[in-house]
Amino acid sequence: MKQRVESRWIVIYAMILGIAYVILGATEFTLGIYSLFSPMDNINFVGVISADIFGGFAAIVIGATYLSATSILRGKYESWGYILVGLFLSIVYGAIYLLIVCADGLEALLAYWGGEGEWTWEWLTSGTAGPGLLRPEIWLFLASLPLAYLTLGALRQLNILGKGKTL
Amino acid sequence: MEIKVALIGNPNVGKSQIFNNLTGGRAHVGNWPGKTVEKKEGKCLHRGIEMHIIDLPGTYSLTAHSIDELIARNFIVEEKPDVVIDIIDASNLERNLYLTLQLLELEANIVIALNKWDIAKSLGYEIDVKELSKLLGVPIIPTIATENVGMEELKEAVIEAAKAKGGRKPTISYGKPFDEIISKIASILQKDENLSSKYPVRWLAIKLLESDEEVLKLVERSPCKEEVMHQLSEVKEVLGEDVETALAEKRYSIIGEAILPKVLRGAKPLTLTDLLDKAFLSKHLGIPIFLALWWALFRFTFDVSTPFSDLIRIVFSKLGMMASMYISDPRLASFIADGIFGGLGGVLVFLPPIFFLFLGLALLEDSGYLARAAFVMDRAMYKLGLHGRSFIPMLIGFGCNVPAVMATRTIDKEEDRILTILVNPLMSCSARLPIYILIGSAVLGGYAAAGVYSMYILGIVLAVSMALLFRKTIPYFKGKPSWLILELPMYAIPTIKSTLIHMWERGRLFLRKAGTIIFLGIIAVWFLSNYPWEAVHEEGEVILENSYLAMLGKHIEPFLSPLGFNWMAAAALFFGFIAKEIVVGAFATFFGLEEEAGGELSEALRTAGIFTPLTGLAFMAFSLIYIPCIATIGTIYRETGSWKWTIFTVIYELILAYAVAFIIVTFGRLIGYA
Repeated sequence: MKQRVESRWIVIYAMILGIAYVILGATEFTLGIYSLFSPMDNINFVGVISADIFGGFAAIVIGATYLSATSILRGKYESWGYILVGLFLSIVYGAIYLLIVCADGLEALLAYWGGEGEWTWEWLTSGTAGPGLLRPEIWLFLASLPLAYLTLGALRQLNILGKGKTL
Repeated sequence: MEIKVALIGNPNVGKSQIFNNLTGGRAHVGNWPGKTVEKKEGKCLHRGIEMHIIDLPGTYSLTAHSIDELIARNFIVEEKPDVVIDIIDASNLERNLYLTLQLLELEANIVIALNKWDIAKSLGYEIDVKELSKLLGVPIIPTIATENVGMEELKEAVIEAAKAKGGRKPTISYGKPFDEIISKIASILQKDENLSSKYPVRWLAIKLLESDEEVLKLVERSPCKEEVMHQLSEVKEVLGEDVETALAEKRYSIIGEAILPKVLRGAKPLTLTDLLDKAFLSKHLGIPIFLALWWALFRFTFDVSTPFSDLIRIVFSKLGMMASMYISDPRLASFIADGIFGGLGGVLVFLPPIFFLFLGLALLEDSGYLARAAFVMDRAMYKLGLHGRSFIPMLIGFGCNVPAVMATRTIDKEEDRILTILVNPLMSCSARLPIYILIGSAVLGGYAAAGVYSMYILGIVLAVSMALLFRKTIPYFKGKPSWLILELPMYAIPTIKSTLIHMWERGRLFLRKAGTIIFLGIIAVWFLSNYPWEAVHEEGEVILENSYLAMLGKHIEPFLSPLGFNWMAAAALFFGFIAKEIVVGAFATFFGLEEEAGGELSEALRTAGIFTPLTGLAFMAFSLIYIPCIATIGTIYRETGSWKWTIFTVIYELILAYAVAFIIVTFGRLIGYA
């Protein structure tokens, strides 16, 4: 019984993240399409959501993967796979955007050493990843970490992550 | 006494490990006659009997669809080994027994090594070995190759089987209508002594029903050809057209209904691999997840590697500046600064994205995901006349065509692999993007972004159209792509060592081969743009119009003038043959501007009136389609091993580029554009 309650909360957590990813992705995608057919301006929404067709698509996919986990509540244990893959994608994208911010920083440093201007910290909030560290996917990735902890715990309890009993 | 033993099995069943266990790891490695497939042979001495062991290529079946299957089959049929050790993965009996049934049809003298016995046990399976042995009529030895368990018993069984010379094996029944027809054809074939003394006639009959090309060739020379063909034509009406699929389904139903229920107990528990596959192989989410992961790989490759490329560019640019400063002879200074350092820098800036791409790919491959990616994309690719595994090279092509062409190695069938290579350069690589941005922003105004985007769409449409066209018109590619049969391995966390080794093994090929080609190409461009020296360098000024390159541009101009391109555009396109990035650099050189001065260069292009919006769009399309860069051409040659396909790619892309640009210009003029 306790397990069922915990599973339900984990699924609700995943659904909240899923909805956030879908809204974010849809906005990025729409802005991306809009910018495609308008002059090449740097379009963004409330300063942090940038125009990014493929990035938006990826965020929608992450959200849809999380949302597919609802069937766990109907006793479909295989659907834990959706949460695991959603987490995997969250981590991949969070890590990629963080790496891109680091790469922007390295580029800024190289430019500074090469005498191509003054040193600034602008790369932290504006660069190849759009709003840099403010990119929502980075924050959603951090928000996914407790879900990863809870999910792994639940799977161990269900004896799925070991060679064990049949579900 | 010496006995000849062949090892056969599906890929990844532990065949190499058993070969090493039996031979003590001492193998003679060569190639199969006339093929590039590796052949391993070794010896094993047991009870004074020498076993000559031949490791056959890993294969899922014994049809004539791939070179590996043909080699394995021909060896068993023609060389007639005394014993065939069929290595079966005990944790995946259903798939592995398919090959066993085909070996029984071939009347091979089989001994089964039921390998990965420990994994099957850990998964909860209980296999009744005695019952399975009785049903198949062959000895079966459980083995754990990784721990050298069961090897002595296997050697004993092999010697006993060789002494027994096979004995009577069960006949596989395909049901009444099939069995009747097989018997009829077999009895006709039996009359041909030449055939019946060499091949099992029942097997020949089954292969004829499956329209096996190799067996059809054998029957072509038989005196009973007419009778067999007449029988076959009647059969099609009774059994339908796709007899091969029907027989494959029958074999699986024999395994699933007649064998497994009697020998297999216990249920497989849910594993982490099952959970992950639920999402990764999902009907609705499988492809979107793959595309999302691909986009992540794309950003990792091109965005994260940028500062490393910049670092290389800065180092070589500083070296070039130092050479110009300290070498007094202007020709030598120009050669070293612009030719050697410029050339080397130009090559090495590609190194970080290439290595990053291969690092990402190695991670995906070693984790077990890449096989799933091919699986989810197979259906869509098959409809487009391409193989499931073609999708990954096509996607990599958006980054760089060199690693993309190299990535086609994962495609087993040669025809499918070459077809993928031929259309791959049509995928718009990142080197073409600066051209689109420059020309688009110079002449397309507010439609620049749409123009850039349309080039990517055009590339995909053309690649798919050409694949379909080649499949239908070139005899070598005729027919359907081969079926995608692949092992879906368990997911694993890649080790740092193996990932780095994979990355290095693939990346160094770029360094060694493509690197030298690009480097030499850039030296050639330097020569063409600087000579005749006196005419180009007059009183400290560089007059490019006097260079060999300008002369070349003016010679090409008449061919390109119907598309609205002048000599500068022609020369820039010539530069692009070396590497597409140089097209923008060439325009910058013409206008005496730095390559990085993008806005100024766009303005200069617009003011000079080199392109109208229509001819600009045509130039973008031409840049997308025409001759791949020299590095890609070199890689195509190396991967196809054929000048014929390499030259064909260059010529068809040139013709296609000209045709598409001409259509754009003509259609545009018809609807009123200049």
